[in-house]
Amino acid sequence: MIGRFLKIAAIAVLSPFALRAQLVLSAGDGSAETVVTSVYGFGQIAAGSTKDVDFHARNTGTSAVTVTKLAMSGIGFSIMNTASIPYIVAPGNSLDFTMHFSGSTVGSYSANLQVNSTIVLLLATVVQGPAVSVASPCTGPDATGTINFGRVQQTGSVSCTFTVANTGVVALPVSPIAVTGAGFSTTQASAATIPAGQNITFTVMFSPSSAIPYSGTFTAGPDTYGLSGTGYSAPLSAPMLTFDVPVMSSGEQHTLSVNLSQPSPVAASGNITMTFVSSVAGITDDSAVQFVASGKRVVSFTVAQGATAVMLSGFSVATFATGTTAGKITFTMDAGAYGISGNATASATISPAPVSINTASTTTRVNNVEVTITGFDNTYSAGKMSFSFFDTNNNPLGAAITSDFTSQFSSYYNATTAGSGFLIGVTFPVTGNSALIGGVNVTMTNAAGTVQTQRLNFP
Amino acid sequence: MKTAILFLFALIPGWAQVSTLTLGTMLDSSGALRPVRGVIASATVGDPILTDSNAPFLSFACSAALCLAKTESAVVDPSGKSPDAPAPQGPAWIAISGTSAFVFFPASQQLAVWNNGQLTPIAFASGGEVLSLRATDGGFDYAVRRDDGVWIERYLIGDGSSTALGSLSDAHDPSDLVMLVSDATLIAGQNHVSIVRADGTKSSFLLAGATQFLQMSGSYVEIVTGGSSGTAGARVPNESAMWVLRIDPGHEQLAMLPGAPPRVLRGLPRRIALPAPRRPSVRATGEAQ
Repeated sequence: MIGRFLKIAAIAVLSPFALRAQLVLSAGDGSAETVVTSVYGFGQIAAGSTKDVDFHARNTGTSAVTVTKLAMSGIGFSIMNTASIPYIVAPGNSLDFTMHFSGSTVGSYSANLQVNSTIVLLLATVVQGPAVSVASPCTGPDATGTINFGRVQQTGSVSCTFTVANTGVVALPVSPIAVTGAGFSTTQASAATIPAGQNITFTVMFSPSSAIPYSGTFTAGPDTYGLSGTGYSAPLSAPMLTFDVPVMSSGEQHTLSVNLSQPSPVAASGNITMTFVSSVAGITDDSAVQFVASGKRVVSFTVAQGATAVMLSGFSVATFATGTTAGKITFTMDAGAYGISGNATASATISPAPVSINTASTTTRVNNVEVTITGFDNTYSAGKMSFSFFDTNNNPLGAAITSDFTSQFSSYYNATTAGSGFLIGVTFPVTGNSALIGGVNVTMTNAAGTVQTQRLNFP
Repeated sequence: MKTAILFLFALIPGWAQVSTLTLGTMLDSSGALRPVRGVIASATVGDPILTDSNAPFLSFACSAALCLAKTESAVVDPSGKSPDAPAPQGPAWIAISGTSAFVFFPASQQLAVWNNGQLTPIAFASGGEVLSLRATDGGFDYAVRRDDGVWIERYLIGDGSSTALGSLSDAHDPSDLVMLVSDATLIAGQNHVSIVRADGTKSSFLLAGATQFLQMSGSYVEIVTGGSSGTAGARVPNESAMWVLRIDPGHEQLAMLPGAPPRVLRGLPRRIALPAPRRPSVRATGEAQ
């Protein structure tokens, strides 16, 4: 190895005289070229990294020179980006090419670069690259080389300590040290030389200005890592879900409005869902309990940044139906990722009530009279009815006739989940002169009480 | 006599039918007819009533005995009991009379009688813009807008005569809607809907932007609002909402009809019978005591 080195050095020493007459070898870009005589060092390169150096064989003479040989021998180096040989270099011009070095194993590397009869010794040292680690609350680098800052509240900031270590046995220059990407910053200098076995630490900050995902990069010498973080808004303040009336009953429509206790920190959106829990045994649901405009149990909401008024499907209120079943209607506001602080629910209790009669009518036929009643029973317990007939002079026709149609109601309600609305027609056969029957009072009884119709007159 | 009647009631049992409470039929935003069940402020909407053509409906009217609807080019009995009757384009004003109906086509200013799927033209000249029809004994009443206001007149089929019954002072704006119902006139102004009875009494509701009246049943009228913002206080919770107005005297009430998802025309029966107002789902006898 030493003998070979001496041989190469001897050639290098003997050859420059001939080259100087015509070709001068230099390295670097046009603004900072250095003349290369016999040896050129690539310096220290982190393991796994590469380094490219531009070379120029410049004709400083007055007549053209033909480059007939451009060759390289050695490990780790290669010639790139050159013209084909032979190549005629006019006076004042140059043959340009790139020397590329790549080494993955720590150690010293050398190669011979030959231009015509000139031979230059190329040297490079591969050292252990910088090792990057981060402290909590940051995590990573992960398998994809990404360092994660996590979720940070909008306009807030989080700082993480980054450590760049030199695990090698020689000092390691690390350049650049750089952070890019909106929201990410560092006060660390752009480069540093880390003594063998030492490290440097510095702070990288993530300061999201918006509630969006952020990404950037961190570069330490040859290595570049991804930076990620997510900005999120402050949660919405406690909402006040308000009804148009404090007490509700079945068979009604009411409105829900929502206001925040504090201005919204961000333009937010989400849903308000209504749920219904029946208090009637055996009745699991009432599909009439719904937001009426949509016929659904969910309504979307939006709130503008700085506003307290919450818009429900674009309007200040949402109309909902209470159905015809006793129970509890609960509204729950869900802002998703925006979050809500405080209680985001409100409930309305629909109490059991006596039968609500919607219409009552009578029909007289030749052989019978019929009483028809429509309404709803939010207890689903109706059945007992009483009929007090009167003649055309309003005199009672005997005692009230009581009937129990509980089984009929039960059978009917067992087949429906759309509420307790009903139509009942009760027929009384008459064998005498039904025209003498003037009117009837009807009572209906359920678990919550008894109601009576106004006097129903027979036509 | 009193004793005789008492005796009869005491011995003869009564029986009862409990069935679904139906408000009537509504026209949804996609032009489908749907049954509406329940009570006015807590109703549910059923599946679309599909017809052979599946064409969207433009208008309709229903009574206890009959429903008729108008597509772009036909008068349709949604129950399927009668064939579709080819008809002039556009909506129709329908006045049901028993199991037949007067049908006026405003686009062509033509009048016809519908009976069992047949349209028979009737010579009729209103001299203005016909807004609504209401069947009467021997003919029909109609509301007509002329330069001097909205008039209600009575047309007799027998002699083809028309007689003015009066004018509607409440319907002074050309955009006001007017509908004649059995014993009242409905008027929709910019921000309100009123029920004006024959005796002059009036019930009004705040409701802006009404664009269409539709007879859901004998007791209920559907009101379509078209998104007008109206003035403060008017109830405009939805850009295109459907409302239901109960018109029974003494029981007037306005509520919003449930919104319905777009109709699905595939995978459903071709024709679904209209729910009969008193069709029992359960029939049983009860003992009168």
